[in-house]
Amino acid sequence: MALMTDHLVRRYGGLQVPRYTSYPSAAEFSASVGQKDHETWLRHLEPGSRISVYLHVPYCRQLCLYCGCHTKVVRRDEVIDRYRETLEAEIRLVARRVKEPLRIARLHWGGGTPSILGLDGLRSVLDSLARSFDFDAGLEHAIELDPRFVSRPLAQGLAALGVNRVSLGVQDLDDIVQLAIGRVQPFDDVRSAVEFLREAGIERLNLDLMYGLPHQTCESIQETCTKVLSLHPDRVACYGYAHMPQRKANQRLINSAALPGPEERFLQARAVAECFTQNGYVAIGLDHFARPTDPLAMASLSGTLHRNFQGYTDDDRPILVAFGASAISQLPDGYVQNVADIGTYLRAIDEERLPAARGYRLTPDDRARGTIIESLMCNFTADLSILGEPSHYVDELALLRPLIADGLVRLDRHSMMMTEAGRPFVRLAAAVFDQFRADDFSRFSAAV
Amino acid sequence: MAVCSALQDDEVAELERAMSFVRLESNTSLVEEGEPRRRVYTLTSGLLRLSLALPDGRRQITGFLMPGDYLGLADDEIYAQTAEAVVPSGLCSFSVRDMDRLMERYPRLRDRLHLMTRAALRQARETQMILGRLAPSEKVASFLLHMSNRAAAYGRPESPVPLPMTRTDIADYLGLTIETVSRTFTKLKTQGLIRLPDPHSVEIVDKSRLAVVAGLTVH
Ligand SMILES: C[S@@+](CC[C@H](N)C(=O)[O-])C[C@H]1O[C@@H](n2cnc3c(N)ncnc32)[C@H](O)[C@@H]1O
Ligand code: SF4
Repeated sequence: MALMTDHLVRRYGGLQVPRYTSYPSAAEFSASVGQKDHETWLRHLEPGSRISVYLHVPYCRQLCLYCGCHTKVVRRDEVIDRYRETLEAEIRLVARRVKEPLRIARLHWGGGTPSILGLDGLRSVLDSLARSFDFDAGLEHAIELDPRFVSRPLAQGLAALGVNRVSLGVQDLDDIVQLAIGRVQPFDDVRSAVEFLREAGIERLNLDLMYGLPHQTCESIQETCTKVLSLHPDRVACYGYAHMPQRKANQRLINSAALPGPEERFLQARAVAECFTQNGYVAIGLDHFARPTDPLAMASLSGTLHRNFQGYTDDDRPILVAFGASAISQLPDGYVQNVADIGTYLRAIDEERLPAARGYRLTPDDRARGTIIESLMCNFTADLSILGEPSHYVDELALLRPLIADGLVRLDRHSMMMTEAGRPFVRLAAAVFDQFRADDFSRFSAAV
Repeated sequence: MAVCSALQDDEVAELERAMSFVRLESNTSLVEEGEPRRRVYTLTSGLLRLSLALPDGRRQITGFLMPGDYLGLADDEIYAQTAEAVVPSGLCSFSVRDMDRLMERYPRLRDRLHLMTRAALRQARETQMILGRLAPSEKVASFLLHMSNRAAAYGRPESPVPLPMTRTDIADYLGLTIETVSRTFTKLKTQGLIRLPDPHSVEIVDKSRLAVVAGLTVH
């Protein structure tokens, strides 16, 4: 068994495959979708629809070397204020284009470091949202936080704003790794952040970890996991480090010679999974873990898990309205991404234009493929009959044959499932259903 | 040259006297479909595109000749297909009359040419098998394997497979759209079956698994 896996890792480990947080993946969005489509698609939203909202804040106090997110270092508070005002202007601009009132059931602040807006800044944006949208009574209100900047007053203030879920970036707790990734963050800081949040009544905590970082080993990762377990998070996400130095200048400062290879990455991911599953966590999809009573775990067990840009979610609302530079909205008609360049974003809003830069208009075929890919990524199974008769998916069947021969996939008429051994390779099976309209692969990350 | 391998020195010398050498620039044609068959050719370098005119005036690409392949051997009085150079190419040729005369004198040459003809017919059959497949991935995979096997049969490396023709040529040959051909290359690459080091060659990473996709082996 171990031998067979080694062989498969060598065969598949170095391949570049999308993470399928959407289908088609954002790499395939094009400028053929723009402001006009965005307006039309917003107008198509049913009045009173329950939606999820994403707010992107693309600033950090300093840049971590590994960071692959859309973010920039900011030193001057005026820059942050200007961005926050623009975000509020964008909210008004979008609200004017929808048949009001939409109801926000989920709110997610991402970044960057959204808390950089300060409590007053966050409140101001929330007030703008409240003027244009209704809030659901059971609103899930989540924010990504950097533990180094979580103080007791911040935690209290966030709780007062109604924040009820927090995701903390832990990444790794080993000193040498932390130095190598430019994120020195002692365990005590993480523990205090967790304590401050719980004290303030924010109980629902997710911790982000990463594998595949420079100098990480299975042993060092297991130590990180043990410390993380001692904090009893409800959820843990563990992402494979995506090293794209051609696109991310900060990553060029990471010594690629110190990066673990595909086989080591595979073993690290498995070590993390073992740590959490052996300590009572349910493995969710590819890279998440949750306590059995957590809604994410329950969604996973009942087959109602979904995939979104943040990873996995029990959010069953397919409509995501996103604000901020580079933010991606998921509307019934398709995807729209705001321009990533902050200057261009600010200018568009100043001129009262929606800052849509690219996107993708979904066809019925895309939806069917998206359903299969999401189902594979979430449940490791898929019903191919939504593509029609088998004669409609002969190409996919041909491409699945080697995966079936390797014992990664089982096919029983039109129902497909990943085997236990096949689960880590689910992105490859998902890629079989991808129609790859764009031809550039450098932007995708390693398959495991 | 391959025909010579079965012959004695004096026979080879005589064959060489009857042989002439042709150079072709890219996109120039060597023979046209329907022309009387006067000469038989063997490709020594480059690549030729074979095509047929369809009744509606369009051209259908029916195959590619690679170094070592023959042209005109299996034809009757006229050339069955048009042949054009895809890249600068070199060929050896004999007049059909010389060929017939030599064959009468040297029975071994006749046997040899017989084998060659059979190989040419086998190739045509393989082409039909490629085209008869349903799925684009099966077509592209079996096309790549076919090109690779032929190169290997002539003592050249199995991989990378040089593909100096355009994607349009490949699409036309396989009866697919250019988009489908490009996408299929991407799909095969994503699955780790091939690598695309440059636009005109394909590295076969895993031959047996590519054959599984092609549907040529039952796994
Ligand atoms: C926007 S950050 C989270 C919030 C906050 N800025 C922080 O760092 O704590 C989201 C998560 O993405 C992950 N991440 C960042 N860069 C990555 C990369 N290059 N490859 C894989 N995951 C990455 C990290 O786990 C990080 O916590
Ligand atoms: S990981 Fe978080 S804190 Fe670090 S640069 Fe990226 S967004 Fe900023």
